[in-house]
Amino acid sequence: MTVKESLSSYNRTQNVLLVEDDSSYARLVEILLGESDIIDCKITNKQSLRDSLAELQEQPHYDAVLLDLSLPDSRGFSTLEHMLGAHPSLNIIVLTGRNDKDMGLHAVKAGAQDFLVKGEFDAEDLAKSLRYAIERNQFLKKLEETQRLARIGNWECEPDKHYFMASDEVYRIFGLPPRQTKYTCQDMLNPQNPFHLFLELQKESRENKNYIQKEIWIKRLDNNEERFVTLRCSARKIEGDEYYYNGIIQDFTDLKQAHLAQKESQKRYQEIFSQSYDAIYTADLNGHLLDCNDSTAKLLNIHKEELFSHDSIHNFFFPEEQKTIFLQHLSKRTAVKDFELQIARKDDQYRFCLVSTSFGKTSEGATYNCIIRDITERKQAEELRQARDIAEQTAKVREQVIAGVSHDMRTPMNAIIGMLNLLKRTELTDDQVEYIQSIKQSSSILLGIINDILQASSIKNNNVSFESERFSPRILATNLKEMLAHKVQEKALELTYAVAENVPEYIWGDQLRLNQILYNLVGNAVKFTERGKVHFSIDKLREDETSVSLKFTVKDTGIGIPPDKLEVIFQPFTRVYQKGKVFEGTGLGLSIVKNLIELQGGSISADSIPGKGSTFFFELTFKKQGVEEDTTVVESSQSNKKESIFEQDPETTHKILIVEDHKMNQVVAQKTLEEKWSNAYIKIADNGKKAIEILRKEDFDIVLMDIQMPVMDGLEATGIIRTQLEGKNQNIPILAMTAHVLLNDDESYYRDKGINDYVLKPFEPEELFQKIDHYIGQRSVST
Amino acid sequence: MSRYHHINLNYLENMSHGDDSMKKTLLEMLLTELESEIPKMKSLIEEADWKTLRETSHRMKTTLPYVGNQQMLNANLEIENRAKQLRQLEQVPQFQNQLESLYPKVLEELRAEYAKLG
Repeated sequence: MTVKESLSSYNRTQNVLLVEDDSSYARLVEILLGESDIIDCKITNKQSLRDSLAELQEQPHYDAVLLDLSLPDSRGFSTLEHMLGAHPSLNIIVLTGRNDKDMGLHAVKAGAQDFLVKGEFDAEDLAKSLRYAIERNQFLKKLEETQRLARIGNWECEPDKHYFMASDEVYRIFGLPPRQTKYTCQDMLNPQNPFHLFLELQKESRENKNYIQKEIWIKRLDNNEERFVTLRCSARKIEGDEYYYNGIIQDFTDLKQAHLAQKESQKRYQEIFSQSYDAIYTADLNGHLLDCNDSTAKLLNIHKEELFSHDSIHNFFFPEEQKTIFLQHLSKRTAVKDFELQIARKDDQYRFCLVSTSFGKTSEGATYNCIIRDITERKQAEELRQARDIAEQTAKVREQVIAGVSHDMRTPMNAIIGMLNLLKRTELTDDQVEYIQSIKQSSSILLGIINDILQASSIKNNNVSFESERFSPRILATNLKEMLAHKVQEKALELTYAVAENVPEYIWGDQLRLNQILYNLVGNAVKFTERGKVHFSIDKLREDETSVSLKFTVKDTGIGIPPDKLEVIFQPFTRVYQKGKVFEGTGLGLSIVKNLIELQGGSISADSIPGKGSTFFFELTFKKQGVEEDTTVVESSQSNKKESIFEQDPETTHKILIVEDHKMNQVVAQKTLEEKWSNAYIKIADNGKKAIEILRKEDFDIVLMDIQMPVMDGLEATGIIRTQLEGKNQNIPILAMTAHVLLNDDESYYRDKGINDYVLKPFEPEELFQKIDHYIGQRSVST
Repeated sequence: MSRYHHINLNYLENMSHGDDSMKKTLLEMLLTELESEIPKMKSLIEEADWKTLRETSHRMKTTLPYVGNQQMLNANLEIENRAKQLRQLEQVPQFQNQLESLYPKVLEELRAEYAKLG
């Protein structure tokens, strides 16, 4: 349907405002229009300008206004001006007298749609004029609406006649309120005026003698928003140098922004495409390349140009089974994601890849896009990691098995040694004594080996902890000499030691570990020395406000170590051979020593002259002061640790006095203690009195005291020990072994009596061992 | 599962450290002690010698765990507490009866175990 058709078919009753003060003339107009079949009108008559404006205020949508310019409250041209001023878009047809034709023409120029001269029109003229005016107005309104929707405005200009007109949309595009602002040719001359650019367009189109088009960004005046507009202008020569210019302006901002966003997006994707480490290509379904990035060529190890000359990129895919599956996916147009394929390169290298595809279409047919990720390094790393994990797991299991087996072996070994001690007390022939001695010696060696393996395993599994407790290096040295005395005597060696005067009387550190290290080194020295002496010393290296570093030296006159062995002496399972003789041991001792020293931040080294002897040096730093709270921690954790320390050292010689009248308890306690410490020295007293007699003659490390006994009970005996004995035994730790459950409730009462602690009968062996260890360990520090 | 109904030798076996001769020694001592002490407790009650009864009962307290009979342990504890506190002494005979009624069965099973060791 054309616009014209749409207007013609517009056949409803038109509302017409008749502004006429002459009521008879107004009636005449009504009659004339009523007779017409051109237009169907409903007429409202108002007789003054004021009434008319009031009516329009209330009902602004009149299709047309028939306006007499001579009204009682307004005359002449000003009537029209008032009316248009209040309602600029009104469709007005001016009615004039015969003498006012010029005024009618003037009115049309000022904005009226038409004019009719009273007395010179009949019913048909009136109806035609009214209908044309209405249809033209409706057409203009549609045009304006179309401009608004299309965001396109038009303008025209005849500079020589000072004529310039711009549609409302032109003003809107510039962010100006239409109809409130009306620029003129004069305004355009001002370079600050937004319409000045039309002047430039006029000039350019005039010079080009053709229409000109421009795309520019302008700034709206209402909100400073940048808008992208297309300008077109044509110049038509009228006569001489006079021109008529016709132009349009269209706001393309939304389209332009979408276009820019698309370009940006394309640029981004292009960057991803070209810079991606993944190979990305587009090919037809036969594998003929249409596009690819540099990474594709790099992955295939081939020049990009050469790649495009290949029949199919599929020729690089491997193995055949995977390739076939991939091609089946392609033929079925099913996309794949992270599909595993290998790329067989020209240089015979195989790369493990993950392939993902999507499908597209070009004018030449179906295509697919492909991303290939090279995961060769990742896969190799993963394989390495798995291999390493398996190796670590295997090593861990091996360590655990070794630790488990060693632990399981240690228990029966302790039992064997304990039983041998019991057996020794029975009546035996000389041969039997010799055999037992031999079994015991071998058992002790075997137990030592097991303990070494356990300790090495603990170190390897990071299960070693170090405590901090106050101890005297001098007492430690004295005890060490005592511990090794019998071995030294057996070999008729001389064992001496020296502690430098400037070594502090007390230091803080792990006494038991230090004892273990020194016992091992000095014990080794004794083991490998057949003649001469073994000497160990402690010297101060450095000291500051909080710590002191000590140097420990162990020197022997033994067989020495060959230079090539010196380098590996601290490695596990290193053993010394001499003229076909193999020395007993696992070869783990020095490795354990080194680890224990290094784990405490120290270092160890050795010098040796084969046949002359060896010297081992190690350094450790100790704190000069401890924290009281540490003691508690040490004490509680010590009991755990000491279990392993003493269990691992069958040579440890505790001197224990059991005071117990109950025979069965005597036997069980003795056996249990010997089970734990095969070399323990144990004496039994049947009552408190006998215990005191023994303690007056001999020093012990600890007393296990029954409370209720005949002759003299445990409390009385303890009182005498604490008050009447002299020397070391006065402060000996006394551990009550009692069935008195009340001890639990009144612990302090017994402590006040001089008893250090208690074990309830029937006792749990582990509890007993821990308490013995604890009190003996504590005593060695405080002595 | 143990074939004994009145004894549980777990503690005794633990303290023997898997040594049968030790186990045998302990069983021997156990039998000797029970055979002498339980009848002795009866005569002490009859003589109202509460002090000695308390000492005997206290000794039994460390002996009975090797037997592993909870009823005997409990009865012995009741006797020791009453003898010590000298209260509710009229109830002591009833606990002694409990001990005496269990004692032959316990002895029988201990002897069986002892015989097994050869």
